[in-house]
Amino acid sequence: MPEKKPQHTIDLTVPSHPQFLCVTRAVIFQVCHCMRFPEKFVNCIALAVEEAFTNIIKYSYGNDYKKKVVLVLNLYKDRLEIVLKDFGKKVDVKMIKPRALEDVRPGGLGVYFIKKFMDEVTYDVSPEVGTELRLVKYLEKGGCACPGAGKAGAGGGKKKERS
Amino acid sequence: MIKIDVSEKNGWAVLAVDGQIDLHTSPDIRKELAGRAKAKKARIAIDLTRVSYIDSSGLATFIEAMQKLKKGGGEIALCGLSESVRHVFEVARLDSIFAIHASSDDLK
Repeated sequence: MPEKKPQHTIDLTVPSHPQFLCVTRAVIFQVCHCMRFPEKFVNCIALAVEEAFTNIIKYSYGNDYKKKVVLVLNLYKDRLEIVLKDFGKKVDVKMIKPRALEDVRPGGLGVYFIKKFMDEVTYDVSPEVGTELRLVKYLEKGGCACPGAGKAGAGGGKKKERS
Repeated sequence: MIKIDVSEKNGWAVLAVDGQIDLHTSPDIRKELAGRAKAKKARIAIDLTRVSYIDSSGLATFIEAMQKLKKGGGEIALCGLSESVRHVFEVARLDSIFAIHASSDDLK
């Protein structure tokens, strides 16, 4: 039974400017290392989050760099949950699909990476304003090294794609 | 911040990129590539030895350059990919689309 309450939560409000993508990336890298995600996962998780952030800048905010994106990182024993909240144009979930890989052209890979690298991907358009995207990655093995985390549960690379 | 050093090797223009490639930094690379890709039969190699991270905007930049170069009878090659950068190309199945060399020393 997955825990319902995270052991730790980190809230981050970031301007919707591409120059701050590196800040988001650095935070994700550090949190993943702190949770002892296997090294091979760390870059993938950071990439998925960054692609989601990039899509918010491009599509929800129409490249308006003066908006805000709220990231909520929920650290569980067995998984990392990242919620990206924007306050722009709502996502049309039906329109979100990656391009076919054989169709080699610029663009269309962001959604592919998000779905490829994360175990759960859920769009919530129910808030009055904007969209909340929830990304979850389970720890393959090992435990969370965060203070007070104790012994980790094993996610075992659980795959539960929802979108 | 991203740094691009340009040199010449065996008939190739070698663009050595230093930094992380994302939506913020890829326009600088796109600009550098676009100017060079206009020339007929241009041969451009991108040395990624000092690149630790690339996202889809970086991949899009390289695909766009490849398509422009091909139209003009030119070529593009990638060199010195780190394990994490190579993984991104592999997952997107672009490792079979681009000519990839271990190092710019392998350019012929």
